[in-house]
Amino acid sequence: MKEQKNIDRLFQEKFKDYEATPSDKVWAGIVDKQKKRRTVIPLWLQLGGAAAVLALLILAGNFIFTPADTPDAEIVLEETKTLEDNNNIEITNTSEKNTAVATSEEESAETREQNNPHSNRSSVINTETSKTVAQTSQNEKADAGNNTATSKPTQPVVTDTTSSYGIAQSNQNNNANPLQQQNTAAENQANAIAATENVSKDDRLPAEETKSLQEIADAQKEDAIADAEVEDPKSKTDTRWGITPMVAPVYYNSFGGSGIASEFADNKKSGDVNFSYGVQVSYAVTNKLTVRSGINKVDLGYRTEQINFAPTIQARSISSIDYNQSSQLIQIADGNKSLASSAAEFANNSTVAGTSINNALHQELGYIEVPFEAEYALLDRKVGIQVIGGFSTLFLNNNSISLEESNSVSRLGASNSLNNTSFSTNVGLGLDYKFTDRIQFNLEPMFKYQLNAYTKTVSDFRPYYLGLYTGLSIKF
Amino acid sequence: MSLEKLLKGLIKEKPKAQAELYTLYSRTLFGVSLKYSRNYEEAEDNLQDAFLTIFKKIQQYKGKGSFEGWLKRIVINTALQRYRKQQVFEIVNEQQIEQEEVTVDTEDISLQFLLKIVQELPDRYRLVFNLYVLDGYPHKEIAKMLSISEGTSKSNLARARLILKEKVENFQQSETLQSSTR
Repeated sequence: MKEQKNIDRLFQEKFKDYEATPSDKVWAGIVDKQKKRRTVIPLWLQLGGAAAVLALLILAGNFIFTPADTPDAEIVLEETKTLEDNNNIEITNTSEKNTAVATSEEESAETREQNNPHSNRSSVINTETSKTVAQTSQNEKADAGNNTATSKPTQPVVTDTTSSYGIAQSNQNNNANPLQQQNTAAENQANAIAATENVSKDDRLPAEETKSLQEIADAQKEDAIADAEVEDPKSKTDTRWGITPMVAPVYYNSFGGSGIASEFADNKKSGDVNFSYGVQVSYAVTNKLTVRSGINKVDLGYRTEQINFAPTIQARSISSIDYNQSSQLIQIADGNKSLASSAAEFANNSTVAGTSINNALHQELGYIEVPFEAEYALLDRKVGIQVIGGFSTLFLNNNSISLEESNSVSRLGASNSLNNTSFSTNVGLGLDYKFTDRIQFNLEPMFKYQLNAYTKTVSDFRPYYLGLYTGLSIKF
Repeated sequence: MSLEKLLKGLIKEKPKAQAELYTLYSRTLFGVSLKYSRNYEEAEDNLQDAFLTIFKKIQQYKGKGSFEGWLKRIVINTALQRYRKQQVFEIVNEQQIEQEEVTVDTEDISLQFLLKIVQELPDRYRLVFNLYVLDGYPHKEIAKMLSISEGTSKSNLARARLILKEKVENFQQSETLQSSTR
């Protein structure tokens, strides 16, 4: 027997409770991707943790294992040059033993309410599993004629029976009697009110069923948008790239040793605070993981204090310094030892001026730094928190050692024990504040431990620098 | 396993709970996915992506509404995202047509045939038809979800109905022809 049926109703009836079994490869794919996801995140957490632990261990080790007695290695070399200038100076170390350290307010509820099978929307959504659907006319004209309260086509009238999914729709079981409601698409508040009033007339309707359809639609829209934002794997696609001009005060110091000569290893050292500036380019691999590189100019420096010096007729120099022409006869030696060995010279030299222990050797370094770092977002909201780890390649571009007296500075020369290319390991914490989706302020305290800044010819110098990097990041 | 216990396991990303969820809901959600997709393969991809999203965002379900409704919406949103990326919503210069009652003979029409002709609809027509007719979304919301006007949504629905009617009728005619020649 042929039956003429509205095409909507035909499909609704046929697809009611429609289910199909996906092939096994779907679950296999899910398991596979879940495994990959699980392995990636802990790896970065472990790396971040390991870097932090390493940094703490290095710091702790510095305090505990700073050598109490550094051997006084004799490194004074005899100069073969003929002395032409009486202004030879002997710099001696008079220091005592020093250790070298130093939606609307209702959005959530509304959104969840509309998820509830009691809501008009969900009731219709769940037709496949729990309801029989009786179709009313979809004809807009007819509808407009018959129903002055709404100007839209009447949606299916839903007869709610029982839920086959008790765990998900247990509330529906409260409706012993069939619920009949007009699910209209509310175009405006008037429609919504009208719809609500219609529904409210039904005494069997639970109170929450009288929710304004407009509210439901709005809440659902918000939820849908929220879901869309959350679910879009390319939500950062538009702003994967970032460029950040950065500037940072950097503090340079070491965990021990001397970058000039081992005899100064015990001397008190004070780090300089200089500036680093540059540009950083970042790329968001995932919502959580960002890799970044860039180029920075870094100036570093520190003072080896408690240096004494005196003129001498015998040139002795520290092998790790390439002296300037004007300073090539300056002699620098381990203080205690030199004082002992050259006591006679001191005594015999009538030109010796009173020496002061307030003098210092100032070593200045400059690098072009190319970092390669990864940051993993722990918190990614208006305020973000990241852990940062990576390394930098450092290209030496400034190198000088000066002798600082109370009123003057004499440039001695440059260190010859610095590697032109060296590396550092970097760990840090990133904080950001997002002004907009595209502009954010970054604040990153970073710890950078230099691996091979110095050749092995000088004492076991273990320099590091701390930087407080700030910048304005522009995403594109 | 109760829903509460299942949810706790899912939040802790317990593989057992995830497998349980898949066992419970994969058939229902694959049904949804099939309706919104062009074909079986795409529906499987969509289902896979949807489950990954569900596992990832499970903590966003606060337990106040239908869990199954929440799961279905993720499947639908995943399908919409797929087409959003492919920019199938960018159709312009469409002549809008009036909605009218479309009726068909319902004799000898299988579910598989109906699924096939729904999947064969142009992407946006299929999405609008599914959202409005099968999942009860109003045009206003569909318009926002697909970034189209309400008029376009109504027009797309009308076109979808006409295409489906034509295919049903062609199918029935060919069936009649075949049976008469036997």
